[in-house]
Amino acid sequence: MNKETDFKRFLKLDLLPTPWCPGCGNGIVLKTICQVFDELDMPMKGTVVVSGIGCAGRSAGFFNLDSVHTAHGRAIPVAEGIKYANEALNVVVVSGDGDLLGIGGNHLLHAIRRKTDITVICYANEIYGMTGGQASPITPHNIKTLTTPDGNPDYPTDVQPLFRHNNSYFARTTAYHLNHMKKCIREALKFKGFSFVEVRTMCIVNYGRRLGYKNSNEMLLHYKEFYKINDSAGELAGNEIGIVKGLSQITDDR
Amino acid sequence: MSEEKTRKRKGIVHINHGYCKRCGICVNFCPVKNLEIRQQKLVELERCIACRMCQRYCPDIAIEIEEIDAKTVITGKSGYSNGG
Ligand code: SF4
Ligand code: SF4
Ligand code: SF4
Repeated sequence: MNKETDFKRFLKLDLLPTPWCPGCGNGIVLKTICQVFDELDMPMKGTVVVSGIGCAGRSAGFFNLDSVHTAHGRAIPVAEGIKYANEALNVVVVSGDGDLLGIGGNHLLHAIRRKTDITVICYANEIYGMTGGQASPITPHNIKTLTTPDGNPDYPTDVQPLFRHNNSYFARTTAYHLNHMKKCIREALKFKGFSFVEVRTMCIVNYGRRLGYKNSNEMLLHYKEFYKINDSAGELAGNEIGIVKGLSQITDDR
Repeated sequence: MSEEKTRKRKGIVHINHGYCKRCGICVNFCPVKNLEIRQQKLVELERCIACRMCQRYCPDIAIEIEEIDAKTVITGKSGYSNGG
């Protein structure tokens, strides 16, 4: 083992490869989460991962930690229950945008309000990938999906203001910006209170192909071109990634 | 960097073919075109400069780089490559 591969202790290596499609960005996010766990030396006994349903929802089972694979949209209330039952645990939700913002949107709303001290990492691929590519709450306007063949007539939802007004932590990053993703996840885990990291990641098979990308590498390079890092904004524009500051200061010390 | 230096091999590529899904991300990220998919299999062409771009972006933890001690490859040069 060396520094580059120490993070693998957080994965159940005998269960790999994951069932995700070749080039699916979920793997990059899963790996980065483990790298940050390793960096912060999160306790193997004392860290719990909770997932909902969907491609991203498969994540929980791959962590070499106690984990729960819950019902669709219910990852956050289960995680909150675990946290309230045992405050000493580090509770991390790993799930997708369809699960967290769509099916489980109401739970998200109330977790923000309660400021439960858990961290949510959202694989935001802008789609319901597992079921074939239906539009999700963050599918951009005019984008063609399985359920919006003439282009999405709606506009994507933006949960940032909810976090800001409740002194909670919101960050957006992408699967291309690896160091930035690490920073966003690291700060989220350190944050005392409710924290949410939205990682834009590529679903090539049920989304990217329909948009005309030839492969997932092209989607990665699109993130590089499209997203600009802005870590000092009170509110991120659609093409900005960064950590949104809440009304109170984000604490640096753990 | 001169053609000669970039051709010096600085890393050994370990590919876990059981994990590799042949997605091609590493092939596209490699700055020296050291990786290719041939007949449904990822192969390396022994000119790795150990930048680790492939290792960092592989979604499936299928590729790892072992750095060769630079002194044995390029005499008198430091072993660090500034790939990212
Ligand atoms: S359907 Fe999309 S999100 Fe699901 S595994 Fe395939 S590429 Fe990934
Ligand atoms: S990025 Fe990983 S999974 Fe994809 S072809 Fe390269 S080694 Fe295989
Ligand atoms: S470490 Fe860099 S040079 Fe070596 S195979 Fe990977 S991408 Fe290519």
